[in-house]
Amino acid sequence: MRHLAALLLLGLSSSCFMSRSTTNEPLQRAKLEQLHPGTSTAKDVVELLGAPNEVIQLGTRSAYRYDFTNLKRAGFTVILFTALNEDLRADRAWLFFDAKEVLTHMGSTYEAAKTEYALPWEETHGK
Amino acid sequence: MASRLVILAALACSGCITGSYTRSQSYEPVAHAQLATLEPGKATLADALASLGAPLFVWEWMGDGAALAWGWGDEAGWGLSLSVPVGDNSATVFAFDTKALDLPGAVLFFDADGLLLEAREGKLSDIRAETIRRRPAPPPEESP
Repeated sequence: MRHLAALLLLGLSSSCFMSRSTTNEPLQRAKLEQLHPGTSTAKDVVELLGAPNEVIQLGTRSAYRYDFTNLKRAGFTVILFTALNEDLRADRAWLFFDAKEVLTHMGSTYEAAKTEYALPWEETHGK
Repeated sequence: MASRLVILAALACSGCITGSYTRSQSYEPVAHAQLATLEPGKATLADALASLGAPLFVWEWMGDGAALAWGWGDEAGWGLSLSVPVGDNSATVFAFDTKALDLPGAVLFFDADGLLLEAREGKLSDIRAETIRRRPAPPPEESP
């Protein structure tokens, strides 16, 4: 009877949870591929991608940041103890312009889709 | 004994005291071998972007130069927390940028022509604090 009560208490006191938080809209690789260093301008970029998330001044030049972040949390609570894992990854694109606002360089990273729900002892990065 | 169990059950059910184990994994790590291929004086901004992808942060460096920072993290730790309500409302907000700057990582410094001049590894916030160019505040507007 005691064991049954203990199991019942454990069952009632435990919970699992998962949550997902995103920031901004996902980057579209096809749109970024339409931009070409040396010919595309800041105006072209804004018309295609919309307003950047950040603009950085680099002397007479500038750089625009576009990003989409994906955070997944998973864990469980048993009575007084909680185990939690957070996995955060992002799609990012940085576009660099010269003083005449012509695109000179661009770099992009797409890793947001690899975000995983996992428990703290599971390896999700660098698999 | 029974009273102790009651107190423990009350604390457990209310969630005021909790122990925890939390792991936080952030962004894909950049391999040290990838960084080593970017040689100061030879590698360019285009080489770095092609090899490492988009950085997390960019800031102005030495006038027309640029600092590009890649960061990643994998931290885990045990914790014990006590929750006590102290007001009608509370909110916990972590600014993404501030949190990401606390990560370790690598920073590459380029001149105005996009040539890599220096590479450093360490906590991004420390490197940024040492190297970012602070712009002076604009002069106050003259009153008529």
